[in-house]
Amino acid sequence: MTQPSTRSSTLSSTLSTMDSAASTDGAVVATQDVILELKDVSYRYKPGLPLVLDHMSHAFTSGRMHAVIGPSGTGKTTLLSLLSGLAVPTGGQVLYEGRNLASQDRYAYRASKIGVIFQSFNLMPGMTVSENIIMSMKLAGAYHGKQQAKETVLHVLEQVDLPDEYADRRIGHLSGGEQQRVAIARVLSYRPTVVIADEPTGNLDPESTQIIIDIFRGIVDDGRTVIIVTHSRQVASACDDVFDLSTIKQRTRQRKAVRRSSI
Amino acid sequence: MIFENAWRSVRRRTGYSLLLVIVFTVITAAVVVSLAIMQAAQTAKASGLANQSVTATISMNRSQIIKDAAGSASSDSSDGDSSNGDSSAREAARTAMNDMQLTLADYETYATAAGSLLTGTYYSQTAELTAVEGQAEPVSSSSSSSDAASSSSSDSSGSDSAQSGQPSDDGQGFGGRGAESPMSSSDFTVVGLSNDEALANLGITVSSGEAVATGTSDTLDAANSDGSYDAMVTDEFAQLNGLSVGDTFVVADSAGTQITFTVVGTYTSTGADSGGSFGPGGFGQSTSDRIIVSMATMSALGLDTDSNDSTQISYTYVLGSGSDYDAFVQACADAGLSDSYQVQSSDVDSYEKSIEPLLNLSKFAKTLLCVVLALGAVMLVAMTLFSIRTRTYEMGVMTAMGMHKRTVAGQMVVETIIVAVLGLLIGTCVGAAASVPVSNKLLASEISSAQSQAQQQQSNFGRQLQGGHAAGAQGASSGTVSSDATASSDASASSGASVPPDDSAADGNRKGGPMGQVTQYMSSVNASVNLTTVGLAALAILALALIAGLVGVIWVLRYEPLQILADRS
Repeated sequence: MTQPSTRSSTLSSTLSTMDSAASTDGAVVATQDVILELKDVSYRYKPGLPLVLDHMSHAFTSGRMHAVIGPSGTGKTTLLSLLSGLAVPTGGQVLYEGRNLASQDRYAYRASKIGVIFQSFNLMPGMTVSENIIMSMKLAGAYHGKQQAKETVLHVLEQVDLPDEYADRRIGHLSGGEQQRVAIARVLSYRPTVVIADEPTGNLDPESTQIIIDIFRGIVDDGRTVIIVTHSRQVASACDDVFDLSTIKQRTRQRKAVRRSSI
Repeated sequence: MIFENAWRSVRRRTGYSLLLVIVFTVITAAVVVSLAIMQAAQTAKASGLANQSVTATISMNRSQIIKDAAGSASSDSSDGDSSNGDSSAREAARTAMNDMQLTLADYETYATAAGSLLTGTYYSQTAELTAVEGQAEPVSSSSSSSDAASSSSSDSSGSDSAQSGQPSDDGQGFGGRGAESPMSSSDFTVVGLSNDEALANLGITVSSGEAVATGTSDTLDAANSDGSYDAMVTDEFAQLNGLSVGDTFVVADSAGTQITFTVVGTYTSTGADSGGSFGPGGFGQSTSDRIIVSMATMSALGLDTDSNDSTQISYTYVLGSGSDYDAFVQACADAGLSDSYQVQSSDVDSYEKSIEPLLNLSKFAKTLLCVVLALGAVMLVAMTLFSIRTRTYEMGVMTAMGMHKRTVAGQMVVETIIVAVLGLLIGTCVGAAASVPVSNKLLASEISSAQSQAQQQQSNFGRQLQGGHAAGAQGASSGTVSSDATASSDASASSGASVPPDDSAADGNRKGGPMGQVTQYMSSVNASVNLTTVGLAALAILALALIAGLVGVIWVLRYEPLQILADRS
């Protein structure tokens, strides 16, 4: 039978093993390279509902392409909502460049610091492609006149492999894949520090998917950061780091279990 | 960016924007027309008489006197003896009215108190004279004696020749009959005029000869060299008695003293006595038996108020502007005029009566304005709510992209204001074009309604019922009023609208003109749109736009973008 002192040292050893496993979970943990960090974050949609995220901590370093994977229902989209400032954590902190997001202007943060590519695109339906892109530029302060805006629109459309004439098409007249590329183009237009994408290649064929991966790689090569939620192995395998939510959740449950058993 | 986005949104949603513009246009047009009518009525009421002089008189407030007398009589009478109480109240009222006749000095006190408000005053004094047998006959007894002959009733008060009104069979005519006893207690009314202004406002036209010289004994020698006094008589009187200019006739005062008048002119009455100069007609007096003389003559004959208790005075104050009327009333009150007297102006009464349909129309316009604004607000809020609900996703995307909620809300408000301004511009043009014809059409309807009511009263009661004040004689026929909202009197304004009652009675003053005058309603009004109207309409429309926009603001602020996007997903 294990004695109490032996039991606590076992606990410490177990926790230490789990922590080191977490720290080697695909991230370089030098603090000065961390662009976005989840610090003991918990989140539930409404009071009384179970926690979707439970005391989660993770750091995303800058200049790398991160993939967030996990089965459906593990909270990937919720994680992106927290990272993009659309949701406020129930507990813990979301830090951007070391500062708590709750103390910053989340609208300005979303407008210029990060670019969010939503799974359902969330384009302005009554506007044209060009108008959608220019509106983002204006919000980010990247609009410097009609001519500059027009050139930027054409450039980003070219980047996502859409012809120039798409600029004046209404969003409602585009296919799902085309809308997805426009959503990506919108983010590219104002060069945010962090690009957060939720299933950006969900509606694309493998060739188009590779184009998008190359675009993201170009962003990363530019010193910026990309965080992608994806089910695609092609995309996950192209990323520098993979953050498996299900593994993190499992480890969290294990830590709790260990703590409970030691009491 | 807010304005640019708002404008782009308005252009993008053409159908909805057009519908909103139409709603704002209709509301604006209705508001503009209502405001124009209200403003025209206000201007007509406030400044309709501003550039016109009006006359005012002071008369006894008989209802107040009777009320006071009844009050003091009921407190004196014993319980259960109400009949004696009633008769003593009547006596007390009669005595009070007799005692409360204002003197010339009293009237002039109030004229002094009014000061610069007055441009002039004039007065007339009226006394009674009797016919002398064999001399000039009154027109009234001539017609009554012919009636008596036809009904086989005789008048025992005089000789047959006097009754017949014709020269006697002995051919002596009227002159030289000597001191015959008077035929009746009062056959003639003699009116003394203070000045030419009294003569001008008498409402007469000289038919032959010239007008009698007016003035007091300070300025005029009354008697002629032959001891007669100059006078003007009516055409009927002159014709009946065979008089012409230069002829003399004899009448007697109440003491029986004979007075000889020389006819300097004859006149007909136009019935437009604006200042009540004729004073009381006396009981049973025909207007044809009025003899007009100067105040100097009245004084010389001992018929003025200083010498004769039964002489009535009619004093008229002439105000430089109708807008001074209220100040004049206050000045009289400040000078000590009690509640037993009242200041009246037939000009003001007539004008107010003439604009009554316009004022009624203004009340209708005010009600319409309130209803339009209330319904408009409800409609706009409902439309905005409907529109906002269909744009919830759009708002969610904008806030998700980083646009502040307040910016999104501001854009909603600006969109509403843009369409409101468009509607305001179009609606103002429509309202400006429609305000004059619509207001005149509505005014015609009001006048028609007033006329129908008056005719109904006339047929039911045999006369027009008094509605608070007498319907004056002059109407608004005294010219146009120049203002932004010009109120003009149409010469072809409907006549026969109403016949004012004659309630002049014994107080010596007439509220309106002589009987038989009709109210001339102001039948056209230039309810044109001016900057004030446009400004007020703009304020109203912008207020509606802000109310509707506020709905959008509240809606935007309610939701978080994540919630909107999640609901959409």
